[in-house]
Amino acid sequence: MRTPLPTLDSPQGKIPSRSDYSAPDGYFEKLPQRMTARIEEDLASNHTEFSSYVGRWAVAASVLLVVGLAWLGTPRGGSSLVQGDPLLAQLTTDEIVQGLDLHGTHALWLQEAAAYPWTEEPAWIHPQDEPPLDSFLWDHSLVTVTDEGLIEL
Amino acid sequence: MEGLGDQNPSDQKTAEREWERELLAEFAVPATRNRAFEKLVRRYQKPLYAHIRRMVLNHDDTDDLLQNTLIRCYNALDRFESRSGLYTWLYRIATNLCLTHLEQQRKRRWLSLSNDTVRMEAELRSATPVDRLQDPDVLLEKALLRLPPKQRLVFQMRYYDEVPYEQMSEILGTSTGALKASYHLAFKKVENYLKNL
Repeated sequence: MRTPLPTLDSPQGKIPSRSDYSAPDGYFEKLPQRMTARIEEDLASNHTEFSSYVGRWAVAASVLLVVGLAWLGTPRGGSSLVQGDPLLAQLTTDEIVQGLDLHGTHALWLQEAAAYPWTEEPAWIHPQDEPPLDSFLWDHSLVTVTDEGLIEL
Repeated sequence: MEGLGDQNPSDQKTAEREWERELLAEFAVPATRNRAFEKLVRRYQKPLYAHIRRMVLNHDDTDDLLQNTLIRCYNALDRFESRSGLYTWLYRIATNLCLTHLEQQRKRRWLSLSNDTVRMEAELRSATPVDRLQDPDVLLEKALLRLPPKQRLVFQMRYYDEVPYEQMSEILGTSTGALKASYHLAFKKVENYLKNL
């Protein structure tokens, strides 16, 4: 025989909630211990995660510190004159060039000089060492002696 | 503790609050924290399980959601301010997790609400012995699957658990007027469905 169709306000009373939604055997007996075990596990893994997190930041901070100290200790830019003079060390290259201009030095020339530095210094860097002109011409084969004994450039 | 409807007498409520106070005091001490938590789980696990199971239907999802509810409770219990009862608070956490879970399942499968009902009906059939499929409680449950999740929840809380509207309002964050209207509409829809079977 077919079960009569339910009505919400049937004279027999309300339709009860399903009672066969049962959990597997032993589920409720084990759940409290399972929960505490899971929480302890979570706490332990959170602690490990936190430690490795802190460790990573500590390593990164140390590396930054070392790099920062090395950067501060390394001489940077400028000529030896600038490095040797604390007052000039505070100035930028542009400020120095402008200052020289004010004292009649041609800034463009200084910039060109900076752009094309000497690769080979001449042997007679000091004027007193400069050889006499004729000796220089002979040494560098810039003059020849003709048949008449004349010297030609 | 089998249902919220049993809590109405004021002496029961006072006893419940006293039990909660003791539990919170025990939980606040690190040495007895886990013991207090186990007590809490033992007390509330069955009604919470039934509440979640009615919403998601299968045991595995219920187990996941129940554990997540209890974990969240553990993590926030030391900040619990006792503005509502502990069970109301747990019920609220479980409810929110259920609603989120159902919405995520629907979105993950790219289902409309009506197609999701079909999926839930299949879930219900697989969770029910064949000889029970025409029983009134199973037919009522099938009818409830046609309601949107929140309306279904309102119906279940009111019809099965007889949760007072004030308490439902605390749990669902909705006004009592809106809940009454929602229950009334849900009741009519379910009644129509059952009449036309």
